Amino acid sequence: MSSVSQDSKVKSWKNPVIIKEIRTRMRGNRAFSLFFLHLVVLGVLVSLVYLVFRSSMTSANALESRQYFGKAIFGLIFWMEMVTVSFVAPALTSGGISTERERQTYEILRVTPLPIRSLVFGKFLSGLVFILLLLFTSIPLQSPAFLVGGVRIEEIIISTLILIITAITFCAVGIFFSSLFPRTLISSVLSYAVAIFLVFGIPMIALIILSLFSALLGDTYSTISPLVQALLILSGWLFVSITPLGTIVSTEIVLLEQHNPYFVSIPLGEGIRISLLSPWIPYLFVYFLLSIFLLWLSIQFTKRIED
Amino acid sequence: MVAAIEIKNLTKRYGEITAVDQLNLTVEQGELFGFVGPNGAGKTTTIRIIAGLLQPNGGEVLIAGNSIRRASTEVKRKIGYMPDYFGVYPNLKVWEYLEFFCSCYRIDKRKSPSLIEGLLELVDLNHRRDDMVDRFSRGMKQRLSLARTLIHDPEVLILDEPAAGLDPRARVEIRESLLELSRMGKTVFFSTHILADVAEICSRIGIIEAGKLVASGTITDLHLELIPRRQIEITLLDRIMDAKEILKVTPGVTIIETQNLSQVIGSEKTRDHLVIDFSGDDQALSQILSELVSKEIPVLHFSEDNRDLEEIFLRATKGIVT
Repeated sequence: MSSVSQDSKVKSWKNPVIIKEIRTRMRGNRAFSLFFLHLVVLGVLVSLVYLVFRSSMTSANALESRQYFGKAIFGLIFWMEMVTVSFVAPALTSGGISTERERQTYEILRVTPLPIRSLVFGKFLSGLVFILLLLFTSIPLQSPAFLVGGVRIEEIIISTLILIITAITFCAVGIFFSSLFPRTLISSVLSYAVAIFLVFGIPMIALIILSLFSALLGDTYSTISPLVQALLILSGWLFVSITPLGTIVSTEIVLLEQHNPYFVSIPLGEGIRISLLSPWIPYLFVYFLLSIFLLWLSIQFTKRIED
Repeated sequence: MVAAIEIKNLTKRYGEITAVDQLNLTVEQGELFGFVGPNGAGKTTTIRIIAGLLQPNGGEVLIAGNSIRRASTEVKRKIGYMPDYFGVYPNLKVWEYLEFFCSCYRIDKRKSPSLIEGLLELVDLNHRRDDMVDRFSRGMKQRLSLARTLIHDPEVLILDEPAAGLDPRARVEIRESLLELSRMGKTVFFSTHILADVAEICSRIGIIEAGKLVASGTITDLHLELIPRRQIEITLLDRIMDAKEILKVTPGVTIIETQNLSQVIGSEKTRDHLVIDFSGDDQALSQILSELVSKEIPVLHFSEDNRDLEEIFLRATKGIVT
């Protein structure tokens, strides 16, 4: 048998979990079928939008229509990618740790010097890299929006940041549940539940609460003291900032109306105005912290030695 | 010399059930130690504690002098653990599987290819290096698991039921691999309930029942301790009466049975078969054979009844299940 060298300071050593995960994930037809399907769906939708705009475009409104077309393409691709992230991230990571237990490879890894954090980060990063690759492949389909104009550079940067942080968080959610539960089925169900709740559930709850408030307050809003108004606005702002849908819509409104990507100024009664950070900033901050916390918890749960 | 494995007062409880009860055991370096016991005796629990996968309720385990609790990183480098399942990944080739574990053990990437080749040669899987691991048979998976266990060149091998569920050929191959590893100077500690494995290859055995070590030592020592009398089978070509005369006056010998084998096998040539009950040690036993040969009695076969290991096991254990 060959002699074994055990140099813990080997510089070429990389996280083996990432390499193995990517190698096994990209092998076979499954990954390429997913990429193909994703791009076909996006391509068909972009073509449909193009046909609609082309049929309604006249020489009189050509510039305006082209800009609307650019925005429509950009918005469509963004929402499709958000849906992709919401559904693919849990699928990629919710079995990260639990399948190791189910396949009985977990204990074999535990007896190696591979740190638990390498296992957790390896699973997390391999899922994230796959999603980022999925998002990256759709850039050519977004290119018509950049060619015809209508999309500002701030919109591109903010939407990209929101997509990336959402992908990071949803991958962290999947890893967290897979470290918490030994069964992948339970972990997948809960990961999807959280992703769907954050993307669609919170905006629905926000809409219901907003409708209730509107009905309760009626025309009396202007008579409320500025302090209560400020508290209500702050609560709404917090609600908006914890959901990707609310964040992107409210950020876009602020960008269009106030042309300020960083702050939003809201009028209260008696001529008072309050300034708040644009919702995408707290969104990035909250989701980043949430991801770090979930990954830390995942490491702790994975570390547990059986009693 | 520091013991390869030293288990002191090891205790593990699952609620009301005590799986391992004040277990004390020492395995010296280079030994091939068989850990025998009925199902549910506490073998796997003990092995999982040694591998650092289970937290004991009490006691201590030292691997080459390192505590599994206080020096877990050092212990991980010293032991190679093979569980009683295979643990393979789908969509991974044999060499990729071993390369992954080479990286887990932080082995220099430049040395991995030759190491993998050597390991696959050792377990006779070199010709299957590009096959997918999840398509392997049980025997091949077990050999691959053994190769994985050896990746970091551990001093001590902890193997849980390495031959369980394998066909006779695969069992023989695994046994040969264990002997080869023992010859290479490695300490091999393996659990089994297949007594033939233990009888053929182990230098020492420990018998565990209901979490307690009920006997340990070499097979000969256990034999003398647990079965003071043993059965010896002697086959002679001729002169059975002379042999019986010699045996009658030998201390500790009782003749149980005589038989003419020509009646049994229908041959014209005769063979006489004797079964004696003997209470002496190995030295005295070899003197009986010398005596027969010196008196020119044509001895064809002289051996202990190999069912004795089962007898040792049955005498050492009481059939208690935790």
